[in-house]
Amino acid sequence: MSAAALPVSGDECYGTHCHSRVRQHIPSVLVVPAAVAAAVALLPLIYLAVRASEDGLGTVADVLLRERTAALVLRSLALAGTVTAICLVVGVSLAGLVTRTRLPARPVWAVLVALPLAVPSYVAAFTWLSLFPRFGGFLGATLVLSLVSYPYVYLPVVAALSRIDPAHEEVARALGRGPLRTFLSVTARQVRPAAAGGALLVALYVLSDFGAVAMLRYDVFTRVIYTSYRSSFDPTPAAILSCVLVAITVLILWGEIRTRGSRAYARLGAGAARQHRPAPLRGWTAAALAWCALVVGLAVGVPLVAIGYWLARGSSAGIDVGELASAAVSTLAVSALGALLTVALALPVGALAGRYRGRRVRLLEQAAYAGHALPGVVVALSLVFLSVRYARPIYQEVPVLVLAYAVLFLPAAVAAVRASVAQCPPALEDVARSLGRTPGGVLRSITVPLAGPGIAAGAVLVFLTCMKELPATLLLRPTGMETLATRLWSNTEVGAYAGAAPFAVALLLLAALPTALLGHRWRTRHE
Amino acid sequence: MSELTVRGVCKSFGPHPVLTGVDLHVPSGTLAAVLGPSGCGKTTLLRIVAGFESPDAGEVSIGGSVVAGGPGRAVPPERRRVGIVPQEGALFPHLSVAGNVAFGLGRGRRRAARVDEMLELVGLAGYGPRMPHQLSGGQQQRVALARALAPDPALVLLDEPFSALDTGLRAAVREDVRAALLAAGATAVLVTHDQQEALSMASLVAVLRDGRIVQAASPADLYTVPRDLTVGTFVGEAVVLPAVLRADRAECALGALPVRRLRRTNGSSALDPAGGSAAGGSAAPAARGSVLLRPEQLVLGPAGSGVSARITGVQFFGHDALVRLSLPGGDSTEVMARTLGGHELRTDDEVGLTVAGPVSFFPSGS
Repeated sequence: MSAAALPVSGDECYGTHCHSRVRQHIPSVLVVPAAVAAAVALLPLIYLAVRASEDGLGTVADVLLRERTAALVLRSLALAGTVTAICLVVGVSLAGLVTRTRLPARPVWAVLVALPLAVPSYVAAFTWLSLFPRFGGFLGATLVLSLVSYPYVYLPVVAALSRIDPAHEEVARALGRGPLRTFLSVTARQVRPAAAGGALLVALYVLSDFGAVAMLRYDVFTRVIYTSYRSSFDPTPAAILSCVLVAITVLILWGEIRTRGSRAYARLGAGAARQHRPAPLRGWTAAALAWCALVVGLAVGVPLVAIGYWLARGSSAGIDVGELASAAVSTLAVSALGALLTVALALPVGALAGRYRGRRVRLLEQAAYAGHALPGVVVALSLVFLSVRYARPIYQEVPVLVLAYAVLFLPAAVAAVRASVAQCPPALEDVARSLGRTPGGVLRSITVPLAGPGIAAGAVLVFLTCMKELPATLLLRPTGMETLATRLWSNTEVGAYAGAAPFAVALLLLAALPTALLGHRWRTRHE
Repeated sequence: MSELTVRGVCKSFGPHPVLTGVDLHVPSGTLAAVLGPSGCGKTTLLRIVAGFESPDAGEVSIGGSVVAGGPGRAVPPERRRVGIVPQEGALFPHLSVAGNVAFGLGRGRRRAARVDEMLELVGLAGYGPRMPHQLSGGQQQRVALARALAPDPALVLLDEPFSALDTGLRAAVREDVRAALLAAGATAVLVTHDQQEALSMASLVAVLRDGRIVQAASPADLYTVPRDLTVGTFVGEAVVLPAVLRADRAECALGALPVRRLRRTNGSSALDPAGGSAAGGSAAPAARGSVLLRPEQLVLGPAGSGVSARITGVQFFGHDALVRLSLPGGDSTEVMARTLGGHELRTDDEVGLTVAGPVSFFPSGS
């Protein structure tokens, strides 16, 4: 990023797309809507700070210095820390087994082990709770959150392990180090940045998760903010606690950016790396298989068994198809609106970030990423405050809910647009113009065919993510409107597990879709 | 194909002036090269001609009609009939080779025939159905040229088209592109920082420096009669020695050498068979300055012939050799000579040096 901050001189640089990016002045057709998007993304954060400090610093200090608050911080950090540690152990060990050993049926394990990524935390919590009604508290929350979030470590470590050039390890062996010392001194060093990045994502995920901790009744920030807002007439403490939570997530994000910045290339030089030769497990085969089976069994098997059991029990009593259909329809409707608004806001920001450089562009892009640091509960709460005070007619109406989706998922959409726009360097558009196409013609024949598919995939991803969203939907949905996620929530709250099961199935299918879709896209692109 | 005329074009980006009054005339059917170091504004000039930037001042006309900087509105790029070949080809990745070449063609009967004709011109007949990523860098570059030539443009602009290719490939692709441009009878402007590329490909080379064209001439004239010392050393290897000009001879460490006479016309220079004044007429008093000659002008002979020198190093290339020589005298001046063969030369050998042909003299402070 520091290179982007350099003053732009008239110098030529060599490369396909730097000329116009460096030289063209940034068109205000992009800057103005991008600034609107950035303002939308920052709005909740700013208003939250305003709202929290409204009752004066005395109140702020009062809330912050309560013994309960200190305990809350400790509980949240303890949960995040424990889950992160477990995810590191589980993720790195599974990645090592799957990429570097002769584990029987390796390709099958590679897929199975990544599956929990598609299980929303509150669906996992529901399944455990439905089988063991007394399940919950710190241990329960730790178990459930670890099982759904270890893929955040597993996937980047697998990628890093397969990127490493085997020559590095061969050199270490040739210099007299044994296999274990080689792994620790060479392999582990190269994997560390990927593992650290994944670990920070896990910590972020745990701190912003609402569904699992709420269902499992463990009082960390998100649940306390929610109950404090719901149960008290004074929303100020909820706003103050939200600010504290945001401060913690921002710190973690900062850490994530720092590890990313210092990540070095795994491989220098040209040419494709050779394949790694998997190590034999010998006597350890059974233990390795048992470990994989245990993780997959707990993370995938238990939810499937629970849902199957409740479906069987529930279908004897009859599934309320009307209820399911109406929830599905409203889920589809609000999610489609959310995806549309999110991508519309992301288009100018992503186009700017993909094509231009400089401080202004960087600030706009970073502002749009604010949602990354904002837990759903926090965004929802600040939009509640905002709409109650300034837009009473749309309080608890669809527009505010859709706006919350946009703030939360703008980062994903901006990343998709940015990458897609980068697929279509300006040099191609220049060539098309010189061959007689008008600007509109260039858009039709070059820009849209090249950038369109990626943007569409981003829109689908946001759409599916909106469908799974729980806390903002709970707080902001119009009175009487139910989505799949809120139905699952309310049924679980009253112990109606059989009634909740069909919604859990629908959500699991929805969540599995983007994984399959993106996987397919990735495969076709690399063929 | 038509001529290109650029008059007094200026362009700044913010506070940075990039072009400060460029004049360039490329006659119809000529392959011209704009040669300059990185950052001299070559690409900006191309982008102004193509219509992607507009000049702050000055005028661009193609085939006699003004396309930028005139009283009317600037002609947009799509209506200029200017084909461009960008640095790395910039083929459309979602279109086949044929689709790329046909991109600028109308939907006519002749479309397919024209694509075949163009692919044949660049030596890629039968490659139509392939996708760009299935081609080598050199092939991509030739498709980019076919694409630019297909709509029969008035002018073709090539922006460092060979810099992304590796050295071995570069010479071959360069020759193919030159042949295709000549066969198409195209007026073309090639932008490059590589003097060898400019001298070997173009029939007109314009040196761009500090935002203006300092000299535009045929490759041979540019090499033998550079306008100043900087141009002279930029376009090729040079031996530069301090000298004093007396009458028509420059006295330097290599003796009193005959000076080439030249005439200058604003910005360009040409040989003047009738004799001129730049090198100083016989009436002019003695002037201090430098002489510039090319290493191949230094002829090595047996010791005792010409100026005696001692070999201090030999860089042997097979077909020829660069020989570093130390001249006698307290300041031990070193010069470079290029000689064919040269296997028998050894460091510390004593040789005699003579200078073949006239040299260029540049008075100090010019």
